[in-house]
Amino acid sequence: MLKKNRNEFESYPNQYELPTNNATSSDSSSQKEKTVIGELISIDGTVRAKEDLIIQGSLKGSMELEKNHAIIGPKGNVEADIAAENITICGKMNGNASVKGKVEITHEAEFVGQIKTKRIAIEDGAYVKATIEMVRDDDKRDKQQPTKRPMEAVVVNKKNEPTPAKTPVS
Amino acid sequence: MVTLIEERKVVQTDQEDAVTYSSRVMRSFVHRVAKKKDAKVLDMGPVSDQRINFLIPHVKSVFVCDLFLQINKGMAMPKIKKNLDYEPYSFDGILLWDCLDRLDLQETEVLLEHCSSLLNDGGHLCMAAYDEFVSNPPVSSFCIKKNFDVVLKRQSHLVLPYFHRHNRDILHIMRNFTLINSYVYRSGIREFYFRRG
Repeated sequence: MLKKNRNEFESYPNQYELPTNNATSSDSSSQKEKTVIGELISIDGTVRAKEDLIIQGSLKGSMELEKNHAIIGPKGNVEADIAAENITICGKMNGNASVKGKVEITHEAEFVGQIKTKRIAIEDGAYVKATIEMVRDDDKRDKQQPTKRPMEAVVVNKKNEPTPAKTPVS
Repeated sequence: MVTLIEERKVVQTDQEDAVTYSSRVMRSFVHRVAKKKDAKVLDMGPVSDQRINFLIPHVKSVFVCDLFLQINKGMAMPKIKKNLDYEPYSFDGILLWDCLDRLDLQETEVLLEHCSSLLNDGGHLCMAAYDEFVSNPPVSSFCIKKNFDVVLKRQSHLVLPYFHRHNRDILHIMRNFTLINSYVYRSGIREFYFRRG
């Protein structure tokens, strides 16, 4: 059944803990409520959420948790495309994962599909058949390049000019 | 064929000594494949996130299909081949690592024929093998770190058979590929770098 219960979430092993890369967000996220889709629940369709989601049941379709963490528990079975801030996969997932933050795949997981992410961590023993593409900050690079390159070119030109100091001074 | 020996380095990890070496094959592979626009590389495992994170800045996408786990589950080669259900000529490079050490001759031939069909013309294939016969060597994943340093990380969950092959046997089974380079390291690892065609 659907549950909003912090105690149940906290009773799971440490592998379900949210990423702690951002101290401020982890502090606030640990206080967030998490919805648990229980083992006996099957969902067919689109799930949109503005809070973290733990899936122990089965889900077919798509899932959108733009600023939140999706966790597929060991008993979870997901055939869906997922867009989320972070994803932790401990169960079975077949689909595409588009993640702004980090994808974690634990040793008991089976993942088949495509992953687009900035960071990925895979435990030994996980079955992974995937296409992995790294999300790059191309926009930032494009903005930086025009300002940096001409400056470097000016420096190089100056260095290449003949320097009288090289000739021995008598 | 160029053979080059490097000094052995042993680093202490949490659990055991891990063999490391600086991979010249990976250096060549990355430089050649990275030149291609939208390069695609297929990695046969055992899956290592360090390796993925190392490769991904150099190519458009890394395809991962863990053959070692499939062999460990007792899957027959036809089913393994079925799992490698990619379009022909899909890849600019394939990383086999020491997968062939874990397959008998017949399975090896089937896998290599399939790899050949998956590679582009002139596509690259890298593989590794133990240099000398070792009794039941542990299965390891090849983790690539900075400066192309490779660390063999033991995969204790995998127990696979081992088939040692001499250089001439490897070159024979790879007869449909052109050898570019091969290296033997003091760490006891051989690396081979082939090109399709």
